[in-house]
Amino acid sequence: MKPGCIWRTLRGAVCLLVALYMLVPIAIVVVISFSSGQFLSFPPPGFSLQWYRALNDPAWTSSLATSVEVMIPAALLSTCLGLGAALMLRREGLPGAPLIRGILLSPLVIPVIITGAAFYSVFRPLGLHGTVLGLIVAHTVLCIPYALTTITSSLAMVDWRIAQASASLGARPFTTFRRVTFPSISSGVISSFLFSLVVSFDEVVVSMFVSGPDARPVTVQMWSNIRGDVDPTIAALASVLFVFALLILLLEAIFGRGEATEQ
Amino acid sequence: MKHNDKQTLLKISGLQKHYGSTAAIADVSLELREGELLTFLGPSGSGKTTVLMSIAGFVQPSAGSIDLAGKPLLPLEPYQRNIGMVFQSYALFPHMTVAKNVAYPLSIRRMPKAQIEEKVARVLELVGLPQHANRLPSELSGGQQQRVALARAIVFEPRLLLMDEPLAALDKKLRAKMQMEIMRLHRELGVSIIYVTHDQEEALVMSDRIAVFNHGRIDQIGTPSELYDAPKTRFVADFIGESNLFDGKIQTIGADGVWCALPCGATIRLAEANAARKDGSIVVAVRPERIRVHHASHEPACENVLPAVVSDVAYLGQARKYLVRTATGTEIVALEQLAVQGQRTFEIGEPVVVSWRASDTREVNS
Repeated sequence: MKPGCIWRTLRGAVCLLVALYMLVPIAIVVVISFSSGQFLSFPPPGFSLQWYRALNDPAWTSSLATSVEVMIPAALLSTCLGLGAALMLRREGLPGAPLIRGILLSPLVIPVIITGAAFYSVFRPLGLHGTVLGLIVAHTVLCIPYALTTITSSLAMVDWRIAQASASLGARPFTTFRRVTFPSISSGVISSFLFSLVVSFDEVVVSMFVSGPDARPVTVQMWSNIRGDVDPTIAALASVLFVFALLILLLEAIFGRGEATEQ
Repeated sequence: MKHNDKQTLLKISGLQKHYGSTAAIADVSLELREGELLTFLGPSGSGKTTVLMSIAGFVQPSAGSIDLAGKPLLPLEPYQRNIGMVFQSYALFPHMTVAKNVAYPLSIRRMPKAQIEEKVARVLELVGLPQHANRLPSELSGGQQQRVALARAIVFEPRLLLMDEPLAALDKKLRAKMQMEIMRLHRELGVSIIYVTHDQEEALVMSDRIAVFNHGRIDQIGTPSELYDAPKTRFVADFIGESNLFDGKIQTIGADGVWCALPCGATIRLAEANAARKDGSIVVAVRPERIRVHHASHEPACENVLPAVVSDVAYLGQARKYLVRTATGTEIVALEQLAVQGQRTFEIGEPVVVSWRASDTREVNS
């Protein structure tokens, strides 16, 4: 065997191990979700769709609805704000730009439990606690770092002189944004929106602090379900969420990278 | 030149731009005539691009004024100035086809669709890309992209076209071809062009006039031959073409010329000298191609004759370049055209005599 061949085999083996390490737990959850038994046990005693039927329970459907009601506005808002911030932060000579960027990215580094407690103490007196609006605001803040970094990296790929070129050709600033800047970063904007959807849908810690009986996202519902009686419903739900995340990733791969073309 | 009316199109007076305590533009004044191709030539950081960006409106000058066709330009936003601009990076819109890119300034001006199509087709014809209308910029070569950028900048018929090192990213052969294309377009359209470059050869080839930038000022402005034959400063003499520069002291000024002593002890003669300082110190420039190299036994009938030894030779194809060193250590570069077959050549270490005329010896400001 040649040395190059050995290395290739070794590298393939390591990649395979890492992939297994990441995928096997998910696969087990998916298998358990089809269990005919009453408990989370592996291997399952038989095949059944009973736990998918159990998802029809209002506790699950309403919390799923809440999650969707929160994630779409939160993703839209964070993408708009992230876009605005990215455009502003790219300007030369903006005073305090590193500070502004740091503050906007801070939800990434501040422990989420602190962020959650902070939202709790601010939202309570404002009456935002336990409302869908409160969840939207909190999730928007959490999504902004993702939106900002995605759009910033997309902007960095674009020659900033195209905006100057547009101005020299007679376009007002808004026309330049609408016809030149935005279309050339649209793939980044779409990625930012999709990432924000996933981040919002997946969020649990801050949501626990902010949610109430009237506005409870599905992650919080899962958490309380796990703490009570553990049955394979949770596995069924996890499988559904897994497929959802897979779909988003697929969308990202299709629309996030391809370049929009004005015909 | 097709356009002979020498009316001033652009007038820059006392332009300055300071960033903190550093001056990107120290003090620049110039006039651009209608239909002229004026080059801003200088090393990077000499202020030429900053002046160009001030005209385009992307830099706000600290002081001074710019008038276009008699109207002040500085109060206007970039999009109100109606000045075409070509960037070094092409700055094409990546998501639009070639035709859409070129149509952009016209659709901004709400021109009827049929008219836009006609104009786009005509200008793409003009830059030699009629069959590429539906391609994306990423599908074109660098030279083709720059043609599209050029088409986009002239399609709305601006009176002034600014070009910021448009050919710097192209290879040498393609650059020479594009230089000719730009000169042809300039002739055919009669548009005034300000062309920024750091390539002195490009400036000499293309320009009606050249403004040589140095440390935020214009050292000299004039036609290519004026700058080459009569450089006013040491910087211009050195930046445009090559020069032998000597620091000397004036010894005597007579009716038939000026005698000047070099630090190495030799004395050379100039036809005339004006700008000598009080202590008589002077900087003298001689072009290498004006210096002849002869066999050591030869006695040339020339005002300036110095014995020397060849210390280096470079063969350039059409010419041979000699680096010679005089007995007292002054190094002189001489360029000999190889116009005749079997011309006498000299080897390294060979004693020679170099000579040049007093009229080819020019005084420059240091």
